Order: sequence, then C-alpha cells, then structure tokens
Amino acid sequence: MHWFANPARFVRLADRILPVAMLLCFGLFATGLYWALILSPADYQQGSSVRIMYVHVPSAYMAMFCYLVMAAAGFSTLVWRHPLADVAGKAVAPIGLAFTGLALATGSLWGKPMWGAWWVWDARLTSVLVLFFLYLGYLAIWGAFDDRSKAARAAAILALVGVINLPIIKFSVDWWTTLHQPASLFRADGPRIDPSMRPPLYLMLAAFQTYFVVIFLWRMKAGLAALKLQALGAMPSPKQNHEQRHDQHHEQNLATRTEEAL
Amino acid sequence: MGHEFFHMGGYGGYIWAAYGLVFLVLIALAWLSWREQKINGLRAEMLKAARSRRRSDHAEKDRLETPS
Repeated sequence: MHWFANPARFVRLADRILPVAMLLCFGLFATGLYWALILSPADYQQGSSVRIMYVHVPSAYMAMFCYLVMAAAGFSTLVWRHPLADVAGKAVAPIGLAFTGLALATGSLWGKPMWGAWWVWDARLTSVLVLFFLYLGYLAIWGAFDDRSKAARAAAILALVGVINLPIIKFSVDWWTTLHQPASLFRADGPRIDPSMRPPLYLMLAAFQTYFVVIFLWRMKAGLAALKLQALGAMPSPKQNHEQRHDQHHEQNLATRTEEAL
Repeated sequence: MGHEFFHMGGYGGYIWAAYGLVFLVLIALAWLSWREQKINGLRAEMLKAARSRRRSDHAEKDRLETPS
C-alpha cells in the first residue's frame, strides 16, 4: 500500500493505466450496448423493458462498489493516515453519487411499466435512497470545513458509519417482503438469469467498472494536483517566505549600489 | 433496424429514457473530471515553472553581481 504513498509515482502509474482503461471502456461499452439493445432477446414476461436491466444492475452494483472504496479510503485515513487516502475518498464520492442516482432513476423507469409505480417505499429502494444521502452528506462534510485534515477525518467517520447500510441494501430483498426482485446474479447458488441475458449483463458490468477506473484516476490526478497547487501557492511555506525576503534583500542591495554608483 | 428498434415493443419511451440518462450522466461526469485534472495539472506545472524560472534568475543575478 505504501508504495503508492508517493503522489508522483501514483500519477506516473495512472498515466500508464489510463490509455488502456479508456480503450477497454470504449470497446466494452460498444459491444455491451450492441448486445443489450439488439442481440439480446426480450423477456417472456417483461418484454423489451428487461433491457433496462443492463444499465440498472451495473449502476446499482457500482453504487455499492464506490461506497466500499470510499469506506476503505476512510479507514486508511483514520488508521494509517495514508497520504493518498483522503484524496481517494474525495475522488470516489461524486462517482458513487452519480451511479446511485442512475440506479434510482433507471429503477424508476423500469418500475413504472412493470410495477405500475415510479416509486414505492420498500426496503430496497429506501436503503438505496439512504445511500444517495450518505454520498451527499460525505461531500457536504468536505465542503463544510476549512481545515483539510479535519474535513478528511469527519468525512472518513461518516463513510465508515454508513457501511452498515451496504449489507442492509444487499439483504433487504431477503429480510423484508419487497416489490423488488431478489438477487439473480450474485447468489451463493450461482446466477439465476437466463444464459442468453448473461453476456450483455457481464459486458455492461465490465464497461461500468472500467469507466470507474478511468474517472477515478482522473479525479485522483485532479485532487493530487490541487494539493500541489495548495502547497506551491495558496499556503506560503516557510521556505517561500525566506525566498521572498531574499528577493527584497536583493532589490535593496541593488538600489543602494545604483545610488552609490551615481 | 427500423421502427421496432425504437418502439421496443411499446417500452421504447422507458428504455431510451433510461439509456439516455445513463449516457448523459456518465458523459457529464467524465467531462468534468477530465477538465479538472487538466486544469489543475496545467496550473501546477505553470506555477512550478515560474518558481524555477525565478530561482534561475536569482542565480544569474548572483553570478553577475559577484565580483570576479
């Protein structure tokens, strides 16, 4: 883990991964979308509306994955004070927020034709809505503190407390009677989804995952550059003050010497 | 690929709204993230270059001012 502690090394590694991940992302989205919208069959009960699954399930999966990354970053902020951890947490939160919003919106667009309602207050939907607000709260905390390390610690604590919501989301469909269908892919007894619908779903899951890698690395680079800017400019370091004093000293020296010469 | 592709057995409105929304949000997030890392990176580089230029100016001035 501490190999990544050097930001310059991290950025070099990111620059090597980014082109590959971008290429993979485009390829996976192209084949995934083609398969999801054209090749894959309509469901025998749901008709073509089942195609919403190919964006809904990856969005929901990524919503939870991002939260796990954010919580892991929070943990390493609090326990190891890893220098990149709070940058990572701050970088991943907007991605998680976007995916959670998409999971809710696409679910709503699937729920209307299938259940007859845009929204129901059942356990799965409500716990995902809570996830959405956890992301918002996390970002709000980052905005609320002037002191960066205080913000990082407060945000990390929220991220860790909120982890309890993840198993609630996952098992909500088993613990409570809900309208939402139970897990059909990530099950202990294997996937329970028609084989013809598996390839596009796996492709779209992989596409979303590589998209995450690209955006996460960009956001990490942005965050690290912002830290560097802060170190270089916004907050004058003692060394800088010394330089400025040196400057003034030089100018005075020059002025007196010119006067003497004249 | 004709009318049926867009109609989607009557679910076209829901399906295209869902895919369109996903597309818009993912593109917007990508654009914002890319721009931020580009701008921050360039600003950091410029600041660093300005710093080292000033430092070399000092060195040059010192060299000229030191009586040989």
